[in-house]
Amino acid sequence: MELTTLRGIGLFLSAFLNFFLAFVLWKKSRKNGEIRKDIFHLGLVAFFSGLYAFCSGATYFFWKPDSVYSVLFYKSTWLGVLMLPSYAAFTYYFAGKLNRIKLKIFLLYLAATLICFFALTTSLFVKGVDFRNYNIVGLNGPLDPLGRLFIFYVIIIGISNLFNKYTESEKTVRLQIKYFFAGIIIYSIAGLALTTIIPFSTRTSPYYDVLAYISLIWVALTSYAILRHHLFFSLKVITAEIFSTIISLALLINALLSKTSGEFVLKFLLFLIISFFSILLAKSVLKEVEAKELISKMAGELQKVNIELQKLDRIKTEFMSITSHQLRTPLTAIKGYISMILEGDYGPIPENIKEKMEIVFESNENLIKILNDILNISRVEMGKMKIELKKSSVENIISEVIEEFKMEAEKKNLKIIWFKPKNPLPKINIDENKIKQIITNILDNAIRYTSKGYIEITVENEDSRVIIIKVRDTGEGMTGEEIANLFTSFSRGEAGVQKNLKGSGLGLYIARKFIEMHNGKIRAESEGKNMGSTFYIEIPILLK
Amino acid sequence: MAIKNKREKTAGKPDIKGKKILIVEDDALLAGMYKDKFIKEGFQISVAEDPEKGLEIAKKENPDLIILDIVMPKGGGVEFLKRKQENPSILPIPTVVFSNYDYLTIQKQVEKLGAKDYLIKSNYTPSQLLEKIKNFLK
Repeated sequence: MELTTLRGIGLFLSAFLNFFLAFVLWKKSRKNGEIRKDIFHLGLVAFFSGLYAFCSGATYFFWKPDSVYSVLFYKSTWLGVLMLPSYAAFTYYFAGKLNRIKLKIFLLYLAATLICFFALTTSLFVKGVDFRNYNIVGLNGPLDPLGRLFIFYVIIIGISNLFNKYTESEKTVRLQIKYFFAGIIIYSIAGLALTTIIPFSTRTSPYYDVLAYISLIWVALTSYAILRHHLFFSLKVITAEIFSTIISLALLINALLSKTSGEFVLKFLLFLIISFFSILLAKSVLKEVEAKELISKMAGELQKVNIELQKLDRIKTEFMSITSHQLRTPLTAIKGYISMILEGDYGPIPENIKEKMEIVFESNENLIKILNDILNISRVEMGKMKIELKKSSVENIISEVIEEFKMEAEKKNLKIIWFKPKNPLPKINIDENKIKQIITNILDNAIRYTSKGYIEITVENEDSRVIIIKVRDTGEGMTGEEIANLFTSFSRGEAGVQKNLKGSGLGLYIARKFIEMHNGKIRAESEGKNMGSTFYIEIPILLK
Repeated sequence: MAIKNKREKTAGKPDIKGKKILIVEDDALLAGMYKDKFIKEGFQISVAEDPEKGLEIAKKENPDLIILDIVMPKGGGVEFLKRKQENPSILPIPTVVFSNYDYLTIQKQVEKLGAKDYLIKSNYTPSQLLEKIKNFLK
């Protein structure tokens, strides 16, 4: 094969890739019934760039010395100037310079068309062609410099528009358009050098085909930008469409070249079937890509909503914390004054009023407890709850808590039975306040839901790895479902809903959170309704 | 929670009677309540409504104990403790923080600044508070 033929094929390939990019951009420019003008014009640039590469390819592929066709093919490369109005239009739209843009584009197209017309039909732009140093060289006609001036002018406008856009863009946008920008600038400068400066100075056009190769850099960088940043469109759809079209076309040609009518019918049928499935394939790929785009868009929105929600959650928790603190002050006054009245600080009070005052006092105490629970929860949820480990005796903590509940149990005629371990338990690393809170909440719960009988507390330390506190009551017991929801926030057993609405329903949740901070466990067991309940608090001993 | 009969409790310890307590508290209602109670129990009480006045009174009267609120105008309880540390004359006076704000960071801070205890107001009746602070009056 001749070297010129090979070069022709190379240029055809370049033309094909330019057309491919043109097709991608043309598809991308039409979305939701609207046309993105910058992308549309960029697509035109790619198309005319492809045309230029194709005509350049033709000059080499069909090269014959002294042939009129060779001159005509060479003249056709002037069709490449049609790239320029589209290029200028793209840069105007891209840079947002929309002032009288339609008139400008029109005038540029008019000039380019006139140049093409005279270049193809007269010898004003091209005198002839020659073959020098392995290259086809165009011999420039008298009007050639005018055409070159036009090219020069448009490229300079385009480059200045592009730089304007680039310098005005924010950093993130710049990163996105970086590759794309580099591609088009390389192409512009190469165009400037190869189609204006060299022809001006040598009065010939020796390297016109090189530009068609350089266009590949532009195609590659733009395609990379599309893939990398989803700048314009998914290439998947385009590829699927193009391949199905090629297959169908090949089958159609195959059918048309049939020798017998029987063969034609068979091959044409095959063409129809394959075309049908090709269309289905292309459509399904399109659907898939659209679905993917939708999903990624929705995922982005979901993330935004999620951040919003987290913010609201934080505000809620902060609100809970602030109000709870504020509410404590009036409750302190109520607590203080009623306690002083009950203690006789303001003189003796009749027994019947004392009784009622005690109820008020108890209600107030419950309110304070609920506030404390809410504050604890808000602290846990804000992540502000810290654990302060200190070597402490679980036994002593239990005794303290039982002491605090003595009066309350006596009032309900309940017995608290404390089975102290025979051998004292080892002191272990725990957060004393939190363990105390856990035991308090469990015992409070036991007393609340037990109307007669007793509450039994034992401590086990069988395998020296864990201390298990067992709190058993003869109270109302629970169903399996109630146990399952027991340690979640704002839950309350059925018994709790129907009867004493004293607690916040947060006590056991707090207990769970606190024991989890110790890497421990809390669980409850019950044989069923009216069979009593047993709570187990497990505190691991090996805690750093 | 049950209310203890305080008369029996304080009666056995006449040695702390007559001691001077300074309450630094901006809420007049609460300050008045504790003042009532403590006077009844035989203590001498001064009340300051902000840290500045608190320091002034502390220097002048040299109380045996200071009960200190945290959230107050003009710097609050933390500021009071800082400035107390800079004053050698009042530095040894035991101070108990008594607040409804129980942020751990503040607790740590006042601990470092020498507070003897950090009590949550709503968890104590005046008598219970008295029981608690007696330890620091001996």
